[in-house]
Amino acid sequence: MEALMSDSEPSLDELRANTEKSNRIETEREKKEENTLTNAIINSFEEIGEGRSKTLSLRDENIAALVYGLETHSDDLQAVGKTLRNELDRDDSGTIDRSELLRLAIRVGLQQAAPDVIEAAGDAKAQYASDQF
Amino acid sequence: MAETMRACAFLDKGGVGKTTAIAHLGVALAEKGHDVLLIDLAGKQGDLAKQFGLWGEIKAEEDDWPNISTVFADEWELISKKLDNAVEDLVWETGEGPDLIPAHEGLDTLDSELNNIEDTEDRYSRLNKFLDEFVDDKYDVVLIDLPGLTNNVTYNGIWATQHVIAPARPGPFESEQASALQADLKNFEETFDIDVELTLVLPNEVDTRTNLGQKYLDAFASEYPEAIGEHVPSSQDIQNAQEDGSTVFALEELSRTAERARDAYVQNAQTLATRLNGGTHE
Repeated sequence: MEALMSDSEPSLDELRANTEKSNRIETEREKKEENTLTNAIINSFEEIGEGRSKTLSLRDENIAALVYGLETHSDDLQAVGKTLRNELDRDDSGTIDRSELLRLAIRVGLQQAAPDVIEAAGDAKAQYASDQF
Repeated sequence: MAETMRACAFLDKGGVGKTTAIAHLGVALAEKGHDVLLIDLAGKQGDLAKQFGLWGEIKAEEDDWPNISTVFADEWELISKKLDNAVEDLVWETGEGPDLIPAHEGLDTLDSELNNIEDTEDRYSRLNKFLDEFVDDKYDVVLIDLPGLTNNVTYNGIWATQHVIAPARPGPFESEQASALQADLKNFEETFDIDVELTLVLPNEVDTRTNLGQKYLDAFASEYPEAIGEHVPSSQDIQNAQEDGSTVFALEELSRTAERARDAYVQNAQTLATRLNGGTHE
């Protein structure tokens, strides 16, 4: 029953999407489907806790060249890192290395392109942490 | 302040004849010249629409939005501004006089969604707001069929109408339920500081040929002297008409009991209108 949080007035399609309701069973099914990604991420946290690697690698000539170049120009690397931290409202302290640069860049990209995925990951982390108790 | 005459059918028990009463009182009032709107909040099964043979057509409609559950949403005001005919989109003609806003499967989750509204006055007055702003200028009678249990939807119906019709079949459980209803309404009044009246106790499916039937009739009359209405006799014709998708008013040939049932509804409709007429609420 929450009103849409939007700076501008929502369209009729948005209003419809927000208020169209099905019966109780279908609503439960929709809730379960929404939770599938969250559950998958929780499972991943569990697997990492049991030893699955938390190191990801990527193979991309252009990005590799860009990052190598930034590493030879520390001021530029720090400036990019600071911008990325600001995008995420993160504390801007400490030197940024390659690893943190890439972590920040991926988070900013996902935050902008798929904020619901980031939200699912946040929910999953919270649930996983809670389950540890 | 309400401009329409409004009443709801409620008893905290299923199967007592609320839908039948609302349908027949509505048709009787329409035949007297009133513009009548019936609203079905009694559950997703659409009994009031079935009473008028409309449910199949309603379910076959591909586009079922907006519907009755939509009017309870925070977004309703905005939605109504963006649609050309928001209320007309909700309404169906019964073919027997009244118009109907039918049930929708969205009612299945409406009660729990209303629970999320912290402010109880907001939670229980949404239907009232809808009627005040969108229905008052179109109809002069609104009758609402409520669920046979006490929940947030029920309270919306009671708040919006402030007048309750309690159909009751002759039996010990119904008699106790009617007493419990009076207590519930008093509690509601005191909690929310609004007047609510048990306006019509409608004994139905009564067989006065039996001692038991007459006994319960006398008990209801004694218990509710100001609210008691004309009893509706048990009639197979009413059930047959329901199965054919109409009220007893639509039958061309009536048995004697059906005639008496029809006449009882006419009398009860007149009694209801008299008691509601000129009634105001805040």
